[in-house]
Amino acid sequence: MADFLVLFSDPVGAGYRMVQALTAQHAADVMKLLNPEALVSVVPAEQLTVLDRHQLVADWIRLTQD
Amino acid sequence: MRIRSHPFPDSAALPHWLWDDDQAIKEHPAYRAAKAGGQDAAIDLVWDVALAFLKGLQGEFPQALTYVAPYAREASGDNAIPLMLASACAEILQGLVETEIVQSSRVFHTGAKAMERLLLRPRFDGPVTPGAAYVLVDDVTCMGGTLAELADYIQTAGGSVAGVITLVNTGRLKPLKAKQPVIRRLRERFPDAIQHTFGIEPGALTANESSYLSGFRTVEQLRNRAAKAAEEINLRLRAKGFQLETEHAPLSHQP
Repeated sequence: MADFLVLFSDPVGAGYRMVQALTAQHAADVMKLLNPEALVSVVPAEQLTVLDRHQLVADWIRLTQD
Repeated sequence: MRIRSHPFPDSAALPHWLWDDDQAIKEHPAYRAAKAGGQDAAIDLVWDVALAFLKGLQGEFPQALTYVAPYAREASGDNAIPLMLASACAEILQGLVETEIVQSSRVFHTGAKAMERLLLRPRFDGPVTPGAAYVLVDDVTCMGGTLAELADYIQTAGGSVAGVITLVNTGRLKPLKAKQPVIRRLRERFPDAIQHTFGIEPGALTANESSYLSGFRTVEQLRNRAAKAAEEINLRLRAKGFQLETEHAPLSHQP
């Protein structure tokens, strides 16, 4: 199992959760199970040290909600 | 009851934050003393955990902004981290720190549930410079209610809110500003109940507050839950030796 950051965007807003899963697709499936209405995108946790979460969420909101 | 009426401006819709939960900050050896009001402990904690984070924000904000934290100057034993964080922001981001705007009521949000947080609204006092741009700074935000109250206080007095910086953002939704379609649905479902029950204009709810309230289907369900929460607050505060202030009793404001 590996850690993934799963971005979601649903009718009430946007955010992310850390999910432990076998693959990125598995992580997306877990989020869809919890939040069937959400659009999701998966980032492997090992990439997070070089990613600014504020910028990640800002870009995600621009992509999915504007 | 003072009505919260200003939404977060777009410039402060998404805060800057370091962590998603408070585990790392709680593990710091100075945390307990800082949380209990120790200024030296708060300085140690802020410089240890936030220096690299704040340096990473250089260039995000123009110089000469005013950094302001929700803190209670008169209450000894009140959390010293927000003010020390605001001071660090001012030093690293080359701005000013505001110490005259103070939280004039304690709200005991630690350990409170979502409905209790909505009912226990902090009040602020102190001079706002009209036309000045403020950055709001806090150690932890959950539903964003305290920051929303501070933003409303500043905007009501003629200041503007340029951004938000927090060490921990535990909200399920990361932006502070609620989505307009959600606000529209809440206005349709609860025409007056949100303002009457909480003293908050629906447009001034935070993203996580609006998301939470979207879970209620009827006005009756919302009011019943609020009434139950008011009782729970009363019991919780009495257990700590406090009495609920009249202004916080939400049911007296029902039409």
